[in-house]
Amino acid sequence: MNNNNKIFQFKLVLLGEAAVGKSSLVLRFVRGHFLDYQESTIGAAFLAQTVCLNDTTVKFEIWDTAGQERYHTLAPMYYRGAQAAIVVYDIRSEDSFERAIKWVKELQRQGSPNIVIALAGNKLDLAAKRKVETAEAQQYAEENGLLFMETSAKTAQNVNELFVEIAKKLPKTPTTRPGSGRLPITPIDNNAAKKKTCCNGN
Amino acid sequence: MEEEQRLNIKKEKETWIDVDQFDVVLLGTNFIESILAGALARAGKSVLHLDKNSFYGGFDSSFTLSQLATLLEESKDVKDPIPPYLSNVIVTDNSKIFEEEERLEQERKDKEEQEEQERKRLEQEKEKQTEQQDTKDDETKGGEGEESKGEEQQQEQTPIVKKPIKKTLHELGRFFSIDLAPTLLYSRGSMVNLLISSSASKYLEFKSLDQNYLYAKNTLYNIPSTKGSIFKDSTFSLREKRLIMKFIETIRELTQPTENEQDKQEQEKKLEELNSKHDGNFLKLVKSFGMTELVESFVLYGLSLIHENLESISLKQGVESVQLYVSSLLVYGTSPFLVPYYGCGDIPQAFCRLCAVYGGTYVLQRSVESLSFDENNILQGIKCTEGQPIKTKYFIASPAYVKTLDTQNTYPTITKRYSRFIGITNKKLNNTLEQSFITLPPNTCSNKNVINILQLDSICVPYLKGKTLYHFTTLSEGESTAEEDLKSSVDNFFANNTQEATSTDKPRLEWSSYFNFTFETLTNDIKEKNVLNKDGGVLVCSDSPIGSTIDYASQLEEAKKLFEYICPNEIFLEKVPEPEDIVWGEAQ
Repeated sequence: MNNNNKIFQFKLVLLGEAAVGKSSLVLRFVRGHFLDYQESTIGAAFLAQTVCLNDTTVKFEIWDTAGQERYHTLAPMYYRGAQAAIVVYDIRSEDSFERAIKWVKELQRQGSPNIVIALAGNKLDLAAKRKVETAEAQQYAEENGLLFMETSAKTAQNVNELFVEIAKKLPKTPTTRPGSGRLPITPIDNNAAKKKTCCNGN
Repeated sequence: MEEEQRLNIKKEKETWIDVDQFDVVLLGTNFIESILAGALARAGKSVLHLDKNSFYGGFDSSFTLSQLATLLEESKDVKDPIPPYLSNVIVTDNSKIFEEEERLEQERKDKEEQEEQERKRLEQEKEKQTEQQDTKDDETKGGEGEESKGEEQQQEQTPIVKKPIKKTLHELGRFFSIDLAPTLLYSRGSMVNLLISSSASKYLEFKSLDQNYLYAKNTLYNIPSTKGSIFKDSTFSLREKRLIMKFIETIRELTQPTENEQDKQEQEKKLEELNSKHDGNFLKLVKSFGMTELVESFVLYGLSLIHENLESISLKQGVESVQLYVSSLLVYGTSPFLVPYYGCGDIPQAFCRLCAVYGGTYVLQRSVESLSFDENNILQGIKCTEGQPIKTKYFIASPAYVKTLDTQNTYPTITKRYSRFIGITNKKLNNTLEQSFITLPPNTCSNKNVINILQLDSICVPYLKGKTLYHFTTLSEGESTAEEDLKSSVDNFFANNTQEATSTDKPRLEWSSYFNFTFETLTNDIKEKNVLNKDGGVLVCSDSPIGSTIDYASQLEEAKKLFEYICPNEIFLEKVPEPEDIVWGEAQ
């Protein structure tokens, strides 16, 4: 079994209005905890978490907005090359749902073709103050081929489930990540590289 | 009336920034400002970063084809432009003509094919009739007759398979990433080192160029990347190969990193000897090798890649740049150069994100209206274009902004101008590898200065087959236009119409543009003064998207100096901790 277990890495971006709970969702998923007063920015480039499916392992490289959504200044670099996106809204705010729809459209226009998009209605623990009906969001998601779940980062309801559903839907072909000739740059062992260059080797 | 005014103010205030005090306000998200913003936020400063454009990077940005076309079109109408600006813009779009030609050609082919199939069908029918005749004659062949019937059915089905619809150039245009100011990164250059050390490289992906060439005597010479490839090369004579190796060996001896003190002293002594022998001049050192004209070109333009004021380059600078070239070979690929996969515009974006991750605030489409000073000429704050006053100790922007905002002080700058050509063709140059860099020494195609040519895949989507994108760049002096500076070299490589392309086998220009690019930069001594003179908190940084070297070294140096002025005791872009090392929930 273990021999067949393949690891696939995907870039996943979070989108949505400020204060809908994007960072909290990620922290619940990655760290398993929740802070009532989460600061609006996170001091990390991105977080990583792994989901194990039957015969494959999916590693998410999760990008948070770093507050750049606040004045609508997210850079195209942010969602470039993302294979998955979670568009989050607050079930208590119709504005945040409208904004989420705009993000979905932006992703369909500018994002990678074949991107897997999940719509998440967050703050399900505060359902008493709900303004966005489940059926309405569900219908929108179906019409646009999105995954849909209502979540609560506070109680952890549906958080892992959401990531697992995304992991299942992502295409697991070896060609998903490394495009032709694309490379990340990493530190290189000085001595190893030296040997190869024409002037240092003999 | 009053009520209306009050409402207006309220409406305006809705767009205001939540915070009205920052340590530093930067205007413009060019390369230098972005790196600086990232470094300042990383060092704990509160940063507000504004840009009047709706996109990041200013002229250091990368554009889709339609964005580029719009930008070029708009720049034609600007009166009294201030740097950086584009001028003498010429755009030629032949894509529709070629696409129509191709369509007609395809129709003709389809028709021929149809006729051919019709002819075959008739022939087969005839055969079948004879076969049937045969079957009657010999019943054992019946099975074969049925088989051929099956084949026939298959053949009838094949024409139904639809050919993929060919996308037009403009439909493909959105997958393009075209730089106004393309820049290359040495694999072992200061920019790549910084990207790695600061962790900003995590946001980016790169591609390695395949090959560097020198164009001389109507020939493209490979610039070899290994000793082996020098000797395999068939374009240089044996004597020339020896000269190249001797030169590289000399540079290696001078610059090889060593721990041994004695070796170090020896190196320094040797360098000093050479320095006094050649008056500290790189060109004189090169001349002393007694090279052929071709080898000299190869060394000066192919390896050193310093393309401005070559006569006055110091021996040390020349030696260092050759060493940088040589040590960058075979690090990530055969060429010493990397380019960002989605264009250079991603580099400012990566550093802006780094700034945001460390709490920096970003607002696009917003500029600065005025600066306010106290009686001692010390900056107190700025006023945004939305009317919001913001307190700040430092304001940093390019010369054009600072000059209009702070008229009390003088900020001397020098203006530089480049000629640029951007072309999209149907194929790459013959006998070249896909991603290539070509250097044209002066006087190759009646060019006064060195011309750099970059050949790239135009489309950044791996499975979409693209066109080929070309960038030509040269320093422009006097009043000559980009077309005057570059046309003869462009015509040397490309065809303008199908007839020419067919008869010469040159790539055909489907879309092209010439333009001049003017910007302001600080001279070396002004740079010092600007940083060290306390201008009351107003700091200037060059526009310069293109430096005198091929990479970002000089711009990076400038960002670093500005940073050190504001944060004298801090580390410039300290490495970001790995996610695993972060302790959560304690930073309240």
